[in-house]
Amino acid sequence: MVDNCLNSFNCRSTLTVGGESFEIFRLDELGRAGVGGVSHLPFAIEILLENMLRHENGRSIQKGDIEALARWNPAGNPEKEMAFTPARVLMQDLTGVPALVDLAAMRDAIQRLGGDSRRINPLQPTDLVIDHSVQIDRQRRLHQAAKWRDAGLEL
Amino acid sequence: VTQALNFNIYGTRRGNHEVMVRGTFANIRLRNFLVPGTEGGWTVHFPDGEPLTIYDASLKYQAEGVPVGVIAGKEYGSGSSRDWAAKGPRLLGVRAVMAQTYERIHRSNLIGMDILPLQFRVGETPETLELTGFETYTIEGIADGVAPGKPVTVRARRDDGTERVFTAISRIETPDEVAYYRHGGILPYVLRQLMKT
Repeated sequence: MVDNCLNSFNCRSTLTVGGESFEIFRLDELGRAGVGGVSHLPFAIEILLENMLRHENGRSIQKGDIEALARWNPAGNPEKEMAFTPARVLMQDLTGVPALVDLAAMRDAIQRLGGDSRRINPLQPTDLVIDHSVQIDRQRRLHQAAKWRDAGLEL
Repeated sequence: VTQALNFNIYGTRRGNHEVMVRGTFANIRLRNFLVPGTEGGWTVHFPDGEPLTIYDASLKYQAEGVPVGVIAGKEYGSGSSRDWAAKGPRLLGVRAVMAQTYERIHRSNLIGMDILPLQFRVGETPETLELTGFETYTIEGIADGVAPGKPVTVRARRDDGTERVFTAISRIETPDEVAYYRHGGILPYVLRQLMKT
């Protein structure tokens, strides 16, 4: 549920599948709202448009931003940036670690300010892939698993 | 003491600001016009003119309470690693960058780290403005509030007391960026939002 969504174009709707309800934003409502049809848009633009409708807040995403994207012109050369609100974040190893350090630093900071460090968390579902920084000190030796265990590594 | 053999690559030290801040501007191909003939992370400390690594100079400036800036050309920030390219300069005491153009995401990340991205007006460059980097800079009009594309007055005062005054454009572009900059960057902004609720 997107609580602060302004829903200026009345696109918010509910889709029920297998007894479960999902909040959706209907692009075809944009046509009825006078913005014009969007069925000709490339699928990638439709995804971005749905994302903007879902997160319209009147500040970083305004009604006019949605209209501008709905009237996307492939020949245009836009200079304006558009907002994108990721629904999930996948962090790469080397660049994800500093993000964890930032979160840890913010936990320290909020504690110093008298707040609750447990409130500092990613706002979106986040995964971190550790692959680049995995280092192999020993390999293909007998009893390797026991050595790792001794070193404090769980397998 | 970590032996040189075990230094590894910066990538594995990205959680360690002590390493990363020393690696900021340390690219071996970097040419700083303040120290002609050198490559790598060198600068000079003013007013004494002593050549130092950028990190050592930044320590001196921070001890002296002197904020520093970067004067750059086109597409500043291109090819930079997004996690440290703005945070490193901030930890070195950089408060403003003046460039002809910016790499799109780096410009935004500078604001996230409380560094003001200024852009020379079209047709103007450090060369046409006769800036050498040996001036003392004053950026006016920030305390009155920032706004997308706001022109600001920059005064570059030379050692002989003469000034070059020019207009630069504040490249703070969106309402979110204005909010981040007003709060001293994205991390203080998020913290304050959380403390309010």
